[in-house]
Amino acid sequence: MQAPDLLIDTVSRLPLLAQQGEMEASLKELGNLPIYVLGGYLVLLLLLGLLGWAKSKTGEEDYYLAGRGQGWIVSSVTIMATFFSSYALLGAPGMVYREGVMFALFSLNVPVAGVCVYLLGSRIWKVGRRFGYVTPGDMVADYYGSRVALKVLVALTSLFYVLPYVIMQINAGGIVAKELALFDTWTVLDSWGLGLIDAERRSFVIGSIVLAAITMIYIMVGGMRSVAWTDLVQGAMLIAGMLIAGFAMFHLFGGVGGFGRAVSEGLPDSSLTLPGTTGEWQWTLLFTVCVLGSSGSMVQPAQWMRFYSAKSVQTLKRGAVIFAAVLTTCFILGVMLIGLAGQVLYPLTYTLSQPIPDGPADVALPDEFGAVEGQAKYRVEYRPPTDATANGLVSWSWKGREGRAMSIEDKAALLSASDDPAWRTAVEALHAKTLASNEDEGTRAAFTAHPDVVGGPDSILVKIITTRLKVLWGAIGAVIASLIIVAIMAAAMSTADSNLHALSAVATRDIYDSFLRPQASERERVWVGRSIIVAATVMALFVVIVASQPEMRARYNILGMIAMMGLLAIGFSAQLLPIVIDMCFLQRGSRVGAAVGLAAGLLGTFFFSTLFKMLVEGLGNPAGPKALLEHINTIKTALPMHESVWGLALNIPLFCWISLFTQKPAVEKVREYRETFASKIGPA
Amino acid sequence: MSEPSKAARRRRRRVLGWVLAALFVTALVMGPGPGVLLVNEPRSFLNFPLVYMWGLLWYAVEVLVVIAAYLFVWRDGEDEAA
Repeated sequence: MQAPDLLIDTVSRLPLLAQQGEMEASLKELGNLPIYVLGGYLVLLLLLGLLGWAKSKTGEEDYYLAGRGQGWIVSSVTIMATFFSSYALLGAPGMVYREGVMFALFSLNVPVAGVCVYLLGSRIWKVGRRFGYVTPGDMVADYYGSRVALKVLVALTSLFYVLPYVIMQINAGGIVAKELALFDTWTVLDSWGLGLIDAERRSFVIGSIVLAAITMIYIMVGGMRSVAWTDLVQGAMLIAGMLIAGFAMFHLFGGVGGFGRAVSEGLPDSSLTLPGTTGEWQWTLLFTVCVLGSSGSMVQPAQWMRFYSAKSVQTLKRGAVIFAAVLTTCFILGVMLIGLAGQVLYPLTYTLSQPIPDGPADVALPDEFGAVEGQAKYRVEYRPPTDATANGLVSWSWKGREGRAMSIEDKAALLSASDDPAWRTAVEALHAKTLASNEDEGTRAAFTAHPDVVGGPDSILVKIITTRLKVLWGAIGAVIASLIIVAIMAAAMSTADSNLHALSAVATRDIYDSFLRPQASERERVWVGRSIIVAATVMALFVVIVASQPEMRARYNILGMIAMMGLLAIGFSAQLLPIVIDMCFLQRGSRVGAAVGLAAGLLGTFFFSTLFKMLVEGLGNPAGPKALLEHINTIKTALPMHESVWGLALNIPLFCWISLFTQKPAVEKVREYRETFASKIGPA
Repeated sequence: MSEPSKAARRRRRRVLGWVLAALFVTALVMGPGPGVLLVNEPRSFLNFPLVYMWGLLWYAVEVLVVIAAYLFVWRDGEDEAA
């Protein structure tokens, strides 16, 4: 490990940082440029929506699958853009900023998704073309001969995936608007906001509404064709944004070597190794997220429908290789670097604490340990015991790599602050903790984002590009910063549009048409689909606005971490994997086995997710559910893995076991599937 | 082209497919899987954190495997669109 003084010296010698650290351009210096770029981008989206409408033909197949005629460029980019989401530009760098280098390895999940595009996508495409499927439920219900149970379960799975994902994207739009203070002066809307818009959240709320409204409009107008065309624009912006952001980090630190040195020497050990800063990311969790997260996201309804809408298998084959090569590069050599740079530029603040049973009422801390938000290396705080708690608490905080270890002099100064024996014992214990390594369980420090990163870890990319690029590249830097900000909106919109569009197809075909009004005309179904898009958007928007209120945030923190919400949604969609693999490769499962397995998988994922914890807390911690939650936490601590694994641990055995003694799909259907997979089907 | 040679090509493709699949799984196990514990130290390699460089290595392997599969394996006559 490098000595702190040497580290400070190394960082101060970094060419651009030394000059720029003092003159960090404020966000305001970008002026109105981001607003103009954003405005132009939104107008372009609406125009593409109209163009899609002008090119469209009447009918569901055209509205939902663009006539099954998407070429390889549009297909590749729309699959990528749907996969990207706000997670790519906010969540991923936020997680690297929070957890350190280990989360950059999460990029290795992307080639898994690329392989799925070909292996699963080509077979789904073939049967979709032959049997005219539009939704995932169409295929599952037709293959297993289940008109009710499986169709409803697959629709529910889609809903569990789509809603958190759409909420996450709308929230991202709000975060960007808030970071840019885009709508801070729009007080005129306060009186219409039913008390939900206040001065602090004005930009967040209006930004969320703008993103949701424009996305909703162009999907409703042009359907899949508009969604795919806008995805093309959005995908191109995203790829460029992610790569430029990475390149800018190299430039900012004086080259590739300078960047590497700054990160290697500037980050604390906990940020350079597994299990990361929080200590949560054991390899088991990272591995299962990489394998199941990516494959699960490839069988979610929006991607599934993109397989149907491709022109040919060749289209998907090209899409797979482009996806694996381009997207992985965008992550590991692009946006992940932002998170690493973030930890150097805006070090996390770490805190180690020691309780003091019956601590003294007052301690006269020396001045050098006073409140420190600026340049001081560390601070000490003492919280005396209160009526409610018998324990006091003394804590030692520092930033980044410096200051974890308390010196002998510091310890002596702290000991002299009080003669109380409890205080002296606590200071000795705290001193020992500061000397222990990060890996030593029980001495892992709590941490918070740097005080300047006001939006929390997810806002690290916005913070860096808005404050550094203009200094780095002048006017061009300001334009690029604006484009990257718009790319964040693009990432959010490209995922929200695909998911809303898919949800409307699922709800219309799998629920409305199947159970409510089977006699509905195609035109009626398309309009019902549009209404569902409106309803789902309004619902997601409502959740975002309500959940972003300070009291709700303090109590539930539903919108807490973009990346965690995305991973939860994928946990639900991953429960479709056994069914997809059975239909496409094995053809051994039964209808009852598939239905029971899927239901159990969804329940398992729910119980092991944070949703169950929130539900139990929301219900006031009743004894039964609380005991179950404690058992689940014990299992999760012993074996930290992605939620989907626990769902699949129930799903797969039940599916296999029940399929052994229940009725298989019709022999004729299985034969047709096998013939279709082995056949050569050209474009329509 | 004669039938035996077609069959031989198919067999070669199948073998290559298995080799690439094994390589891909190895990259997953070594990259974000338990293999990362082999290098899980706060050291640097070529100026960069060792864990990050380890990830870059397996990223390259994964992407090369997918490109090789695209070029040489994913081309069964069954899925060639007209």
